[in-house]
Amino acid sequence: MAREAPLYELQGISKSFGHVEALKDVDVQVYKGEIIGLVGDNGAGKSTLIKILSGIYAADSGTIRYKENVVRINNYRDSQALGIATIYQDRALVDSVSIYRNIFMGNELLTPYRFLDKRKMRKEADYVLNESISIGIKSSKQMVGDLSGGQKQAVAIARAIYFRARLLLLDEPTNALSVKESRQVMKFVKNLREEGISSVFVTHNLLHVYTIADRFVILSHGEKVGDFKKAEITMEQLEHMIVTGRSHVN
Amino acid sequence: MSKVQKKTKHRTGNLKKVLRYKDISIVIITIALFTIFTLVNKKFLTKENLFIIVKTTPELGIIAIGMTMLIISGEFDLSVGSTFAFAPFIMASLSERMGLHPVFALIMGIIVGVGIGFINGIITTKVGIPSFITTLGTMMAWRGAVLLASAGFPQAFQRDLPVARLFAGRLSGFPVQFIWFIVFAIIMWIILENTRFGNWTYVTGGNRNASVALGIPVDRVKIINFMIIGGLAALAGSIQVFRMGSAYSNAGLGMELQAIGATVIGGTMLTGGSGTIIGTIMGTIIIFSVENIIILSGAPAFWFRTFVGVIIIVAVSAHVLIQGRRD
Ligand SMILES: Nc1ncnc2c1ncn2[C@@H]1O[C@H](COP(=O)(O)OP(=O)(O)O)[C@@H](O)[C@H]1O
Ligand SMILES: [Mg+2]
Repeated sequence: MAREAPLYELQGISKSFGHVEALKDVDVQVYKGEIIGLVGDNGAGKSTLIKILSGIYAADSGTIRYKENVVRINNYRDSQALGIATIYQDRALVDSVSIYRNIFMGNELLTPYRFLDKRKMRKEADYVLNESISIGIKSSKQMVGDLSGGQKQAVAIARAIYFRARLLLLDEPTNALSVKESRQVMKFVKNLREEGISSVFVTHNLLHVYTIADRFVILSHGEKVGDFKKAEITMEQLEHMIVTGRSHVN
Repeated sequence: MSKVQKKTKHRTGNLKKVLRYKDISIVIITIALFTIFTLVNKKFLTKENLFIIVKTTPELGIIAIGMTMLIISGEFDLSVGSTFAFAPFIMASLSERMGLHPVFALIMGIIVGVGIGFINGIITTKVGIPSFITTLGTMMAWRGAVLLASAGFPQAFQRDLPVARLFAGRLSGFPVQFIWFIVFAIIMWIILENTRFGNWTYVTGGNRNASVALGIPVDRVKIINFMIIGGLAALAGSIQVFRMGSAYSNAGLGMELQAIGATVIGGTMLTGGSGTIIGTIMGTIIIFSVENIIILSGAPAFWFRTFVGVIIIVAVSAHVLIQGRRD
């Protein structure tokens, strides 16, 4: 099937920690507006792959392309500049300050006299929270520490939306969430797909990932052992592959 | 939902909102203490007595403001008491012994304070040891230095110089140092609440990893806050020299703990990431009111420490009870 070029493309990515080969020669393509379920057993290398895209680790070898051009991601800024936003389970929010200060931290809006433009930040934050991911947050002046786990994820996602992310990386975003909250987070990710935003979704919950993803990339001991569209694989086959690390199509 | 239910829900909602306002618990604590003190001693709430409190508050208060910012950024500074003695001693020596113009001598003293803060900040962030250890070390080092330089003798400073009157004189009877205290409090409040640096100070202390992940220069934020408190400690020490007419090598002993005390009484959490200047101002005023009521009541002065200790625990407990634990 002829298809447009991938938006992001990883080619031959390898990464070792001492003698542990966390990733071996992995290729992944991400197309516009698709949700990729990145699956594999514990220690398969999923988080390492996510961290390479978000600029926390540098790959030992391999190339990253954005819109067919080779790019380098050396730090968070590079990653952000390429439209990549990482939603960490807990790491990237500050509980002791308000929602709008969280959304804009590191990217504060300033008045011409270089003071914080609090009114504008509040307005923009309220807008994204209500329009894009309405989740029952009344005011962006609320402390993040007072929010539920799902609402915190929503704030992190709101930050990504506001800064026009084109690729969301979600590493086990639903781990600490209730069933209802997980469902909400998955709904945001789906809504964003309608707006053309791609996601890479890592989770242990097979049901979640099978419900939401358009394509599955399966890692085992640092190697890619499968890459299937949803139509090509059943949930049972997917589970089998994760457990055995072998492709079901032989 | 019935109308009555709706109404009560609305009302508790409002009450909650008021209680959530971050400075509300310190306001309640201050009003409660002032009421008690007034009942205990009629002289407490007189103009003359309040002037006495106002005169002594600024020296600790100016340091406590800096301590608040530093604690919000996730660090603290035990060396402020030594800076409070060392930097003004340099100022007084430069002016009185070397004949440097007193204004330049003051500027030099403040530069020394900022430099001490810079050293604390660099060691803490770049070597990566806890600021408790760094500043415990520099606390002893600078105290030793000022004892050595002074050989135990106070360094006189002319109290009637214009610069001394500018910082520690009177304005129709009112001690001007209190005005400076409020001026610095307002400046620091504006910086904390309304600038990018202030926002970075909060988020750095609140979640260092998140701040790093979002590209915030956390080390620089901390170093600058160390420099601010160093400069403020030097200024506060100079104000004491202007007020007393001498720089003493044992000035500011124990001040670091009082400053931390004022800060936590004001509702700043030692864990970093939250706190307010207004709370700290109230906390400082509370400490001096306690000292004052003890003196007024003719109780032995050593009750002061015991009392302040109790107030610290009571105030922090009250913050937790009124505003709820934040974890
Ligand atoms: N910072 C690190 N230092 C050393 N080893 C690491 C580090 N990060 C990951 N690893 C190792 O790399 C392998 C892959 O880890 P990870 O990517 O976290 O797997 P997953 O997220 O799929 O569970 C594991 O063997 C893990 O122990
Ligand atoms: Mg992982």
